[in-house]
Order: sequence, then C-alpha cells, then structure tokens
Amino acid sequence: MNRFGRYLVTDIKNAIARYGISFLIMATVSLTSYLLVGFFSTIVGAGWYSLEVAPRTVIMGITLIVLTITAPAKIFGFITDKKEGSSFLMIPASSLEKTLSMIIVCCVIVPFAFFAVYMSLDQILCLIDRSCGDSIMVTINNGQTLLTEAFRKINMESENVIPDYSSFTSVWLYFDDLAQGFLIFLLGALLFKSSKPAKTIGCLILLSIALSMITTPIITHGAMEKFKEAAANSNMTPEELFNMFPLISWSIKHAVLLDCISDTIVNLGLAIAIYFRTRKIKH
Amino acid sequence: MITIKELGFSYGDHVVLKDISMELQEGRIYGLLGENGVGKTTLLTLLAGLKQVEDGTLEIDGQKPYNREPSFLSNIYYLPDEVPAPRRKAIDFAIDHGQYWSNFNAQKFSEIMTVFDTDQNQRMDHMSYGQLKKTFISFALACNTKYLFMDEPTNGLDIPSKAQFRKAVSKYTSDDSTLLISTHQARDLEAIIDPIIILDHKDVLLNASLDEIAEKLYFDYSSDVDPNALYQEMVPGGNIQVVRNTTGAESKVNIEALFNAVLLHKNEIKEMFNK
Repeated sequence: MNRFGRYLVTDIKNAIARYGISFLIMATVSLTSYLLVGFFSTIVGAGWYSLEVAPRTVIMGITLIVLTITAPAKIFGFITDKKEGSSFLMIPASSLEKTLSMIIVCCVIVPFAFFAVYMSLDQILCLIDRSCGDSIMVTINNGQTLLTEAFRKINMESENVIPDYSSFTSVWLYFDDLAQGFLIFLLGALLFKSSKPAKTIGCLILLSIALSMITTPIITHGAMEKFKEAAANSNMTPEELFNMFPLISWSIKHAVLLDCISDTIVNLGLAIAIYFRTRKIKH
Repeated sequence: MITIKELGFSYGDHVVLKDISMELQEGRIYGLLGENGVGKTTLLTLLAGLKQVEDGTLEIDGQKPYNREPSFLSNIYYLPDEVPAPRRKAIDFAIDHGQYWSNFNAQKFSEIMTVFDTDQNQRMDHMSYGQLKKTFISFALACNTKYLFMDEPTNGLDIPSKAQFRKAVSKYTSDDSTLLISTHQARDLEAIIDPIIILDHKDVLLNASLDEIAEKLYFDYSSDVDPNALYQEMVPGGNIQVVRNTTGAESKVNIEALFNAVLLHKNEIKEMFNK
C-alpha cells in the first residue's frame, strides 16, 4: 500500500479511537429512539407505539447536524494542541496527503458510515415492526420521485418556465451540501484552539449577517414596485410573473446548476484553506 | 549537518533567540544546556520544523525544516518534554506510526521497552507519566532517524530509568546519528553527551567537545582553594573548582561546574574557546 493509503488507514484508526463511541451512539439513534418511545408509551398505558416516518426523519436530520458539528472537532481538533499536534505534524507525510486524508474521513467515511448504519437499522426495524410504516430510505426515494414529478407538471403547465428538474435526484446535489457542513467544521477545528464548534457557529452567523447585508439590496434592487404590481394583479400567468423578475426567474431556472457550482467553489475554497492551515500550523 | 546562521526568533515583543550561529556535526550526541527561558525548547522546535524561522537561516542537510517535506521528516524525530497519551496499546501505536519512518525497527522498540521494564501491551492512556515518557523514548530510538532531538528526556523518569535511558541511548543509537538533547539534569546525561552546547539568551556561549573543554579548563577536585578559579563550589569531601588549564593536565569534566563557570565568565570563556 502506498504512503497515502497507509496514512488514511492510520487516520481512520485514529477516528475510531477518538470518536468511535460517540459515532455509535449517534448512528444507533434510530434504534434507541424506537425503544424509548415504545417503552414510555407502554409505561403510560398507551401500548407499544412506534414513530412514523416523518418524526423519524426529523430525528435523523437533527442527529446528522450534531454529527456534522462534533465529528471534525473530536477527530482532528487535537492538531491545534501543542502536545498531540506536534506528533501529527512530525509524521513524514505531505501536507496534501494529511489534508486529503482528513477530508476523506470527515466528508466521506463518517457521513456514509452514519447513513449506512442509521438507515439499515431503520430498515430492519420497519421490516420487523410493520407499525413503523415506510422506512426512511423508501420515503426518500418516493419523495425524490414526487418532487421530480411535481416540477415536471409545473413545467408542462407553465410552458417550460422551469427547466428539467430531474437533476433533483442527483447524488452530487446532496453530497456537496453535506460535505460543505463537514468542511466548515473541519476548518473551524483546525483554526480555533478551544470551543471549536461554538466559535465556528459564531463565525457562520456573522458571515451570514454580512452576506445578507450585501446581497439583499442587490436582489431586491428596484423590485419592490414590481412586487406590489404582481400582488395587485392576480390574473398573471406564471410566465408573465417570471418575466417581471428576470434575475430571480433566471436564478430559479438554473437553481440546480447554480447550487452545484456555488457549493463546489465554496467547498474547493474550504479544502484549500484546510490545506494551508495544515501546512502552516505552528507549535 | 545542521547549520544555523544568525538565527532569530521572538514571541511577539519578547526576543528569545538572537544572532545564534553554530554547526552541528553528524554522529555526535550534543548536550544542549542553558538557563530557563533561554530558548532551548524554541531552538528544538525550530529544528523540528514546528516553528518558522523569523531571522537568519536554519538548514538540516540543506533543507529548511519548516517546509516539513516528507523526505526531511523521515530523517528526524523530535521528542518534546510533554508527550501525549494515545488511547492505544504502546506496541500498536509504535507499529502504526513507525511505518512512516523508513528505518523504524519494531523489534528494536520492543527491546528498548524491555530495557525500560515497560509493558508494550499496556494502553498508553493508562500509563504513568514516566512509563509514557519511556515509551516515547523507545519509539524515538527505534525510528533510527539521522537526527533525533530530545527535550528534557529524563524529566519524569525515576532513578533506575535514568540509568536505563543512558544505556538505551548508548546501545541503540547508530554511529552516524546526531542527537541533540536539551536538559537541566546535566548529571543524568554526563556519561553520554559530547559535545556540550551552552545557550544564553542571545548567544551561544560554548559549543565544544569534552576533549576541547578538558584541554582548556582543568577540573580540580582537591581541597586547596585556588583564588583564580573561574568557579568554585564546596562538595562533600572537598571542592570542585574550574580553572584555566595552563599545564595541560588531564581532568574529568564536571558539566554542572562547567555550566556555572560559563555563566559567571561568559565573555572570558567565549574568547577562550573561539581562539
């Protein structure tokens, strides 16, 4: 195995040692929440009750957010620590190899292992207990089909105002958003010496405020009068409505592409920032 | 070879190293001595590439440490004063990390752990500080690197372990390896370090081999007090005095007495050894 491969294996072992137990707790939330809900509903005399797919999906979403926030800091936060970080910096591998390995662990291995365990457990529970209804995996597949169908219908009714939205099912569309979350918190884990997730969230809030202050006037420039006009005229066709706001309608038409391009650019920027932080870190 | 020219480093406004110049030859075990805060640890971290040189140059075999090129890193190992405690068995840690150093020898690691009487199958986060330090010393020596920098390696070691450390360094260091050991415990390492480097706040006061030192300074253990002694201290059974060696007489270098003599007569000693 080449050096990068060996390094990646070392990083995975390190991730298991530092985050294995927390990961297992989060990945098995589907099982624990199922047992807890059933247990407490039995205690209060309501009989065995299992959550439907909607609350189960919300719980999975919340768990995923917690995973995104905590995993990078727990697995790689030690790098800013003088004692442990020195040991990491001294390993004879290039900064690029170290960066790539960190990104693969955080953006690919951790989330995919999480989905694999979480959804498998959910699927098994739904097979055993039919009162659970559809599993999260089946629901997501159905949801994607419904979403694509809905947009196809809008397209037909509004003379192709909205282009083909079948790309909503594209894996990349979801992966780049997922990766972005992990990359942001990985960069935060490498930049801050303490309270890493809290400081990263603080920076994100400040950045969001600054960006909205810049972008809102650009998007709404001269549009208020048109908004009032559109609100007053309820007989407008979707096409007429779209033509009134060229920038907004252009953005909607190319939303999927724009999202992919912007996320890819931001993710690349984050990856480059992580690389330079790894290369220039001092102890 | 390690070449340091007019090296400067500061923490904000606090200058730690200034105009430091020296050369370290291959195949020697250097002892780096100095008072607290003179920059010994800073110098070691600069050599290990953990800090960036601010002024002057620092090169190891023509490479700049801070670039942290894998080819450079595979030739060095830095053992800091404080070591981490990974949640793994010592042997697993050693094999897993050692694979990146091309000359790492797992058998040698096990042997040195035996010399230190430390269980290689024990989890490192369950070890005492001394055991942890011995594990890292074993790992550092087993990496067989060309350059090995150790910061206060005997701190936290009990009395038998200090003797085991000397034995391990003497037995398991290859002839072409260069060791730089920073210490305040000069007596712990007296038998193995040669040459001696004494660092001052902004200067290298001494960089000389024991032979050179013994040639220029005489360490008198008699009870007669010499009024011209550079340093004199009463010890059980007599005195230890450091005087200029004008007769060419042979004596055993006492590193603690040497260190104190150098601190008391900085310019005189520098002049004596720069001739």
